[in-house]
Amino acid sequence: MNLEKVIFGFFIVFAATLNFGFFIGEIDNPSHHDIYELFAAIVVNLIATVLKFGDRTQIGAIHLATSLVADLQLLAAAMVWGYAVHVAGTGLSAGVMSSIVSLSGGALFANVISVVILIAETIMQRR
Amino acid sequence: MTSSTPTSTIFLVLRRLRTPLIVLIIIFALSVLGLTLVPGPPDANGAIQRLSFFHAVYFFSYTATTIGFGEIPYAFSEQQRLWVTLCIYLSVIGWAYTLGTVFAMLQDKNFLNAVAVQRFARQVRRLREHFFLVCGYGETGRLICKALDELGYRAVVIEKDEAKVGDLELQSYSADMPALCADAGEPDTLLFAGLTSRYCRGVIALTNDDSTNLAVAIAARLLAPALPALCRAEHSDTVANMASFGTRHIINPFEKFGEYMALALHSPAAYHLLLWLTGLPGTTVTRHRDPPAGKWVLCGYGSFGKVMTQALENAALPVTIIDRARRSIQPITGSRATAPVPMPSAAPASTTRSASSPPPATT
Repeated sequence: MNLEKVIFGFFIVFAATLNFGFFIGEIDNPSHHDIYELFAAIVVNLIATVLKFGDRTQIGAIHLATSLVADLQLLAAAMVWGYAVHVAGTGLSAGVMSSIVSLSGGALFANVISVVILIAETIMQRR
Repeated sequence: MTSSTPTSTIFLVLRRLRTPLIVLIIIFALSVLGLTLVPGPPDANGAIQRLSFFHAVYFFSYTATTIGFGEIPYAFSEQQRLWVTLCIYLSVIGWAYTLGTVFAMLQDKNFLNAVAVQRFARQVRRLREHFFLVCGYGETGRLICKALDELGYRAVVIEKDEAKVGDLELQSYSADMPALCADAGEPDTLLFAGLTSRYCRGVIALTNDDSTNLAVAIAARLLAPALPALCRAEHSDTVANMASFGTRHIINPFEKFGEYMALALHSPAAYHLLLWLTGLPGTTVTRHRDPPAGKWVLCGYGSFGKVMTQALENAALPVTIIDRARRSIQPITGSRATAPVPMPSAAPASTTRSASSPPPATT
């Protein structure tokens, strides 16, 4: 067992599960989507991105790319949230909530790709 | 190996940045999370306020970067101040650790080298003029670069000695000459220096190491067969080796000097003409002293000495050879004139010069 691989797999799967947890629920119902879960998803995604730094293989590059996409989408979702509540002052209306959740849905897709790559990589390994 | 080294160093840098970046992210996340949870002062209705994520990120961004606008959006409660105190120290540790790692890496020799190679390769790639690839920036290399500069060509220089690369940067050439401190014997270095570029007009190998010159000759022959290569070779086996690879111009500096000497002895006027025709651009005609005819004393009998002896013998001049190693002085096969005089090996050559017996000067 390689500790580095455990940590790597842990953060990739954790990022995907947190993202899924935030995404699931009615798309325009604010009570179904917790802000702390979005925050945790962003932090874990950022850590997963940093863990993918410095891998020169093709698979490593795709890993990093999917993570960057997920970061971008989640940060955009957080910015929409902050803008709606504090800057625009409209509060969490149904329209705002659905755009936040759909952005996180995009990030979820990128995270699923990441997990699929991780699984494929593991299965392809022969020893 | 060289081609992978610069790029893999970049990956290594990213790899080493992992831990500091993760530490920073965790510190930032913990502090922001804490700020949203810690109870703030009661508002006008007496309800406990808490910082929203927006305000927490805003507050911590200016606190962690030491800008410190103060307590925004309202004066903090004592609980919040307690947490902020902790956060400040945490963030200082995080920044100190990250910056320390970054600066240690920037000082790293391998990293600096990788950056220099990348910059050099980019410079060469962007060249849109014809250039010559000069390996070795010694005395000859400097003259050649000067001549190329005056002829309006660019030169790309590879030199092993860092001091000489620095010297190149101090020269005021009219065009910018990309230079790299590296071993020209590595084919990858030559590729970085544009060996296969379509603007490369020729390769000139001038290092004072025969094996490096040979490696350059082979690499040029294999990687860019159409490119003319001028290679310096001091030993006859290197010359033969280069010739077997089809190197078109092999220059043995000793032989060249011997030839010029012979020409100067034989017909000084032809020698002067040769100098005028092959001199560097912009040089003025100077009067050279013709080598005098008569008996010559040759101190040292290495590969250069052999060539000189041959040249002097061809001019039918008597030569006396002085050398410390008795073994090295063997009469040249087919020698017409003089027998070399071996000196007693114990005595230094300089002191026994006058004691050398007169050579049997026969012609």
